[in-house]
Order: sequence, then structure tokens, then C-alpha cells
Amino acid sequence: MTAQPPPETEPVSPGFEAMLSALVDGQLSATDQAWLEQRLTDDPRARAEYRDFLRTEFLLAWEIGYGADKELLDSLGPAPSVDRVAGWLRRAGSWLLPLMAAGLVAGLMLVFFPFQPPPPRDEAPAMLTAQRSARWQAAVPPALGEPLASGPMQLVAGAAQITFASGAVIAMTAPAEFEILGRSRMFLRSGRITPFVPESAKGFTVVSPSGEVIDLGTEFSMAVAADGATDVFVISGEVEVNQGHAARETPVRLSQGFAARLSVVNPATGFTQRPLLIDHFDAASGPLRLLDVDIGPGSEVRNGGLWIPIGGSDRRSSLHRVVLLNDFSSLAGRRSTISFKATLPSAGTAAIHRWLALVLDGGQGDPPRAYEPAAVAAVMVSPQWQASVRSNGQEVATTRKLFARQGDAVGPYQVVLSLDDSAWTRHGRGSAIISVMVNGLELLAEHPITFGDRPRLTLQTYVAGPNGGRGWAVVDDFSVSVDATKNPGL
Amino acid sequence: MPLTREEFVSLLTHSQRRVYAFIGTLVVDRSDADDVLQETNLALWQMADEFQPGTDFVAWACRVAYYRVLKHRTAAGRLRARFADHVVDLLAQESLQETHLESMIAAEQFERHRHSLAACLEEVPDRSRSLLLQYYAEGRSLADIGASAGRTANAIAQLFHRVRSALRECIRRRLAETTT
Repeated sequence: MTAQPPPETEPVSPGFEAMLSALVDGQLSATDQAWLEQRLTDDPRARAEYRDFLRTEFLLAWEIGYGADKELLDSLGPAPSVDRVAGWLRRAGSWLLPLMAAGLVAGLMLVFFPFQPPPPRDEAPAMLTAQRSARWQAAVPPALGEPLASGPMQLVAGAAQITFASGAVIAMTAPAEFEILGRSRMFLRSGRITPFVPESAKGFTVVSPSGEVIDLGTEFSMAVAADGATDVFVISGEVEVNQGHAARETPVRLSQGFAARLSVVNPATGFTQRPLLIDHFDAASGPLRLLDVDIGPGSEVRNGGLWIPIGGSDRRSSLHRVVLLNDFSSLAGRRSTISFKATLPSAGTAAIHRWLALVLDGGQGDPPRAYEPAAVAAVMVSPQWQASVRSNGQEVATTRKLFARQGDAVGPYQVVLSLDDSAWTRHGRGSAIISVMVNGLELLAEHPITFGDRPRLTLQTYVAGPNGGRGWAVVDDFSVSVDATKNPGL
Repeated sequence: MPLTREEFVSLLTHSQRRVYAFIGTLVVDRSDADDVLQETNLALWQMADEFQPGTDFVAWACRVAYYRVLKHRTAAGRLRARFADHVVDLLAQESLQETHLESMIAAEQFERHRHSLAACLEEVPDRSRSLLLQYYAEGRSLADIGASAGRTANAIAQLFHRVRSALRECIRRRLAETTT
């Protein structure tokens, strides 16, 4: 059988290559991704091009990401930041893991992990798999490639990586005090760690003086202060967080981009019911999973975005709603920003008005339609991009013209919520201060509203005009960020 | 005669790049590819006794990897960039066919590609290399890298696009030169 000509000699189409570049960087729009998917389905040459591009891309990622060149070592510098070391260790860990799990040293050895082959392995719960300028304080100081003893130990200087028999890999930097409790469990008395937990090690648990964090398949970082207060930040995936060590009364699930702080339980008062404070994080690193979605008929989640139909065939106007549910009570006490990017279909339909409205409501009963009382709505109109905001049925901001070309992505829209902590705990309900911004312009500043138990976000599309219009609004890059530094000051 | 542990580990380590590239083609997102590679390695290790010595290790490893990719997909929300199942299947079949293609030729082609890439990387200017290190070695996001460099995430994406184009062009040239 004759071999195929190597794909490298086939003509390159720059547009296609640019699209693949955007794809691997997570920058490809939903519509472009759908187009690409169709091309790949239909055209074997497109697939060959795609495979060639991706192969080069991952070879590149390997060379640079896993490559154990001296350059990488040197580039880390004299005082690498926590994140650099964690990132580096994590990648090295992915590579070393199977070898460590097997208790064997491979012929391919990384420049900065020279170590002796370990003795025949029995079921050691955890092993030291890498270290850099590390100094230890422990009854039995850990040795590279060797199982870790039980009992308290301290990383006094440098950085280290510990691999558990379950497959979890922990990166830590000094100072840190911890104990290995089992093949899937550790105690962190103080210090900061970044566990990387593959699917096979789901359920990995880190116990701190103030509670427990159970991994549900994720990457998170955890820091325990000297007084035992624990901060957890989820980088990707999900964790379950328990305040205190009693039976799991109120486990909280944190997903990507969320953080929590656990406080040490005061033994005199027993287990407290204080709500968890959410600390700051930045979720700008890519599209998040959508929160709980009560998807209206016709809507679908596709290619990382939420596709909401606009318009109907025979009706002059139609309203379609998608409710995004989330328990916003967990944001109490902090100023939170909810933002998303929405793309409305380009027209050919100048006479048709299409609307995409974001409605926040108190969470009781049916989600209100835009413009109903007790709802705060931001309404965007295409193609003129006028915006108006109403609250309690009153127009509270005059329409403004925003610059955008027809068919451009609309947004990012931002709604800034500040939820009052004290009112929440006292009354079981919260009040909020709402600000609404569109494309960076503040349209509604600090308007107070009251929430019920479970405030909701509703996205509504609405079409008015002859024949209605047909199309999809695509919502992606949905994110929630919480700013801990600004107190609502209520 | 079954393989010794050392032989198996040697085969495993030498196949890593190709298996990683195979996985990456199907899942696109690098973090997902890292996860799947890790799980594949564990699976390969557990299935070591099933490997027939003398047969194509990479092809076997890629088949195992393919099933790990499928398994990953069914876990809700775990994969980031997603193509429809039929597209992934097509890509997987074609990639697997390539590895089967006279395993020696496939291996040789891959090695030439890899060496060309390594050589071409030398030609990338230092400033860009530093950004590549931040992206691939440290796993920083485009936004973070941009923030440190005083540029937008999009500008960084554009830069990476140009670097990738230049690398591919360089690789093409080198492969054409060395082909007899």
C-alpha cells in the first residue's frame, strides 16, 4: 500500500491554520467551532491538515512543557514564585507519576531529578517524587524516590512534590507542615499546596485544622494559615468543602473559579452555622461551565456555549427564556460580578428588533419577563445597540448608543451584585446593590433590591417585527468573579 | 517470552511523545490531554501483561489512549473543547491508521518531525521563547501572560499564531531538505 504524501507538503490555507491556532488556545468562537467541525466531518484533507497541526502543537507542548532542559531549570530563577514551581512540578508529575507508581526509575531521567532507584515497593501511601532545594524537619527526613514516613513533617525550605498511591500529586512550597494519613488522605497543618488529582484518585481528601476538602476530580490550591483558617481556591473541576470535622451537615461544592475560607471552629460553641465567606479569585482564564441551567425549550448547550433560539416562524413576536440558577447566597458579603459574552445573529433584518435581556429576580415564582416590576433588566437591542435599563417598571437609565458593528459579539455584559452578609444571616434573606454595566459603561449604579432565597438570572431573547427573525443567541464565556477587597459597606 | 519491567518502562517512555500527540489531536485542550495521558499511562501499566512483545507498542498504547479519551468524554463537563463524537472517531481512526502504517516508517516520520521541531525551536527569538515557556511549561493563561507583558490576551494569541506558522514553515523546509 502506497503511503500518503506527508501532510506537510500539502498547500496550507492560512485562514484554516489561523482557526486551528485559535482553537488550541481556546479562543475560537462558537460559530467558528461549529464551522470547523463541519469541515472536519466533510473534508478528509481538512482532517489531515488538522491532524498535522495538532501533532506539531502537542510536540511543541511536550518539548517546552515537559522538556527537561537546563534552560527551563535556569529560567526558573533564584526565587521562583509559587505558581511557577507548582506549574512546573505539576507537569513533571504527570510524567513521573506512572514510573513512581511502578516503583521504577526509567532510563529517561530528568536533569534535575537525579535519584537512586527505590527499594522494592510495598504499599507505601505516598512517596517523595521531586524536590528542589528542599530542606526538611521530620523524625525520618524524606528521601527522593522513597516512601514518606507517617507522623508530622515540615518542609522548611524549597519545593517538593509528593505522589500518593491513589495517583494524586501534591506540589508544595516551604513553609509547610503536614502528615500523610493514607493513600488518599493527608493533613495540612499549615502552608500552601496545589494538589493535582486525576480521575482515578477522585475523593482525595486534605484535612486542615478547620475542615476538610474532598477532591471530586480537579486541581485546586489550598492554604492554611497559622491559626488554622483555610483558604481553598478551585483551579478546575470541583471540590467538596466541609467546615469543621463533624458529620457532613452542610458540605458545599465549589467549582472552577470559586474559593472558600474555612474558619477554625470554636470548641466552646460547638459546630457553628456561619456561612462560608467567599474570597477573591479571577475566573478570566477561559469559559466556565455554565451553572445550573433550566434550559427552556429549544435551547441547548453546545460547544461550550449556551444557544438560545431567537424568534419563531409564524409569530410576530416571541419571548424565550433561559434561567440560570445558582445559589447566590454563597456570595454574601462580597461584591460579585457576573459577566458573559453574548453574540446575536447578524441581520439582513433591519426592521426586526431583537432583544437579549438579562433579568435578575428575587427567586420566587415564575421568572419575570423583562420590564416587569421587581425585576432589574439590562436590555440590549440590535442592531443599533441601544440599551436601557428598567427597575420596578421604571426606566432608570436613558438609552445610550454603543459602538458595535452588526453581528459583532455583544458585551461583555456585566452585572455587579453586592450581597449583604449580615442581613443574610439575620433574616435568611439578603438585600443587594445592583450596578449594571454594558461594554464597560455603567448604566445603573448601585440600585438596591431585595432577594429571596435563591436569586436567579434569566436570559431572555425577544423578537419583535414583521415575520419575526430566526437565529440563535450564543452565550459563552460566562463567569462569576468575586471581589473580596471591596466591602459593600452596608 | 514476556517483557521485563525495565523493557516495558523503556517502551513506555519512548512512546510518550507519540501517545501525547495522539491524545492531543482528539481532545485539543492541553490540560485534558495531560489528564488523559496520565490515566493512559496508569492503564498501560496495569495492562502490561497484555502487550504482545514484538508487536507495535505505540499502536497498542494509542488504542488504550483512545478508550481513555472516550471515557473522559462521558464524564459530564470534563472536556473543554469538544467536537462531536463522529468527528473525534474519524480523527482517531485516521491517526491510528497512521501509527499502523508500517510501524517503522511511522516511527521514523515522527522522529524526523520531532527533530525538525527541536531544531526550528532554536530559531524562535528569545522574547517569544520566554512567552512559550510561560504558556506551555508553567501553564499560565493567555490573559495572565498578557498582563505580565503589558498586552492583551488576544495579542498574545496572535503572537502564538505567528510563532506556530513560522515553526510549521520551518519544519516543512527541513523535512523537504532531508527527504531523499
